[in-house]
Amino acid sequence: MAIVTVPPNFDAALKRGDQIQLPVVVNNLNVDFTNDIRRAVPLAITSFYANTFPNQVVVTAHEVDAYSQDTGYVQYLIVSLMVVSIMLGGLLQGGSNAAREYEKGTIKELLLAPTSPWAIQAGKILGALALNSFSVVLVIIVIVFLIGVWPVHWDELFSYVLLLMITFVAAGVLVGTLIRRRQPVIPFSVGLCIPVFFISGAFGPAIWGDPITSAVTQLQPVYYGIAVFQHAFHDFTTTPTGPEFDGFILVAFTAVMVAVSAIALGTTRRRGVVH
Amino acid sequence: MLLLLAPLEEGELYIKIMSGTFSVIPIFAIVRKDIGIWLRQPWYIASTVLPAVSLLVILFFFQQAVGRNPVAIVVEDNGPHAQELVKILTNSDAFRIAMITAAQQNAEEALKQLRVAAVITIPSNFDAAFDSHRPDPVTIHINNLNLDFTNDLRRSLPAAITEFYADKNNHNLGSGNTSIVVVPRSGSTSRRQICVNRILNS
Repeated sequence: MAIVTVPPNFDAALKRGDQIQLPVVVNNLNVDFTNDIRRAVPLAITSFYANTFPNQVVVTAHEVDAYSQDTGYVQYLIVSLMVVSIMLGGLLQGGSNAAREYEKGTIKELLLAPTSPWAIQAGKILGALALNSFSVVLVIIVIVFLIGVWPVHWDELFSYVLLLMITFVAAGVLVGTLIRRRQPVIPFSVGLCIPVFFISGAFGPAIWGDPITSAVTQLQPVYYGIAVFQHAFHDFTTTPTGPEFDGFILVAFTAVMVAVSAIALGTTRRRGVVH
Repeated sequence: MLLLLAPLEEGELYIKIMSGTFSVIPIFAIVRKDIGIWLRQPWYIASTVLPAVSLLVILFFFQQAVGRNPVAIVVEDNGPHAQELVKILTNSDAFRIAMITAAQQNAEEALKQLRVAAVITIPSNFDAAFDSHRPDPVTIHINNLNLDFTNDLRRSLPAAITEFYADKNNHNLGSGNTSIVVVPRSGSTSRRQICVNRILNS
């Protein structure tokens, strides 16, 4: 994408103190990687002078890192992707299972059963949770054993995986209860996951982004999910509130989601099911 | 295959395919029925529109994801060289300045609370060390969560120092030479010429 040409008279001109021009031809298709080249060439020249004539280039950058080792982009991003995969799996599994009851008409039998909507919804959530756990275990195996991202805190990982699974399966059951058709559950779930993934700090702390977006994203659980998973895998703190507080917020989200889901089913029972 | 839309009878359109013909009325009736059902189901409308809107929203958020990260600058020296470096850092396209302070503790607190991604410290003896040609390190404390933005920050400070030296060269020599010349070429390629000796002459 770029050609840097060192001219034939480079050494001789340098010794004489003459001006030397380094032609750099850049394929400037987009600003992102063009700017990388634009910064890299002057940087290489400064480094060259700093090494060759240390007395003349005295201003140097001294780096201090907050964490002892660097984390690759994929290793960071894969943790965020895991949270969104739990979200998508939970919504699809919970949503499809709940909507099928309405499509097949079997919801009438459940609603006529002498039990509370909480028990029915708890059963639906646990069933979807058991089915969803297969895909989640598969994702964990791929991340840990194939990609090689080893969690620092295994206990946190399993606790938060369970918590997030309950949250999103309950959300899925809620969506299925409200929509009552399997067909729209799928595009709805996918369409919801994509923007949520991007606003929740998947690539870096959300607070470093746009102030409005970073305020809005704190109202949904994926933001806290990514934060606690980054802590479980890399021991990172990616929110100002810290992983312990984020964990409490997630517990609250889970409780609210299960409660709303059961209330929605209770409302269905009072109003009756119409086909 | 021949497809024709022709009025075979008065007031009614027919489609003619090869040798057969049939009325268009059932086609439009089915379309009308499907759209009618779709319009009566808010969840269907949402599930149709949401994926498309999501993809558009991605562009906006992705731009932010690869955007500039906030950085704090601690300026402990008020000398002209230090101020010049601050000016260059402020105009950097690699990060945005969220805080300029003389108190190191405030900046480090901002780093701890994730209000900034890095703290650049220009030491109190910056000008004196520069003038006397002594080692003059500028410290950058980076929250190195992932390599993508960490590398941007790593490159940006040396790039600013390079620009700092380039400016020094122009001012000190008064040569009037343009250090960096960008000559756009046809197509999608640009040519950039960089004067190597501008630092050596300063």
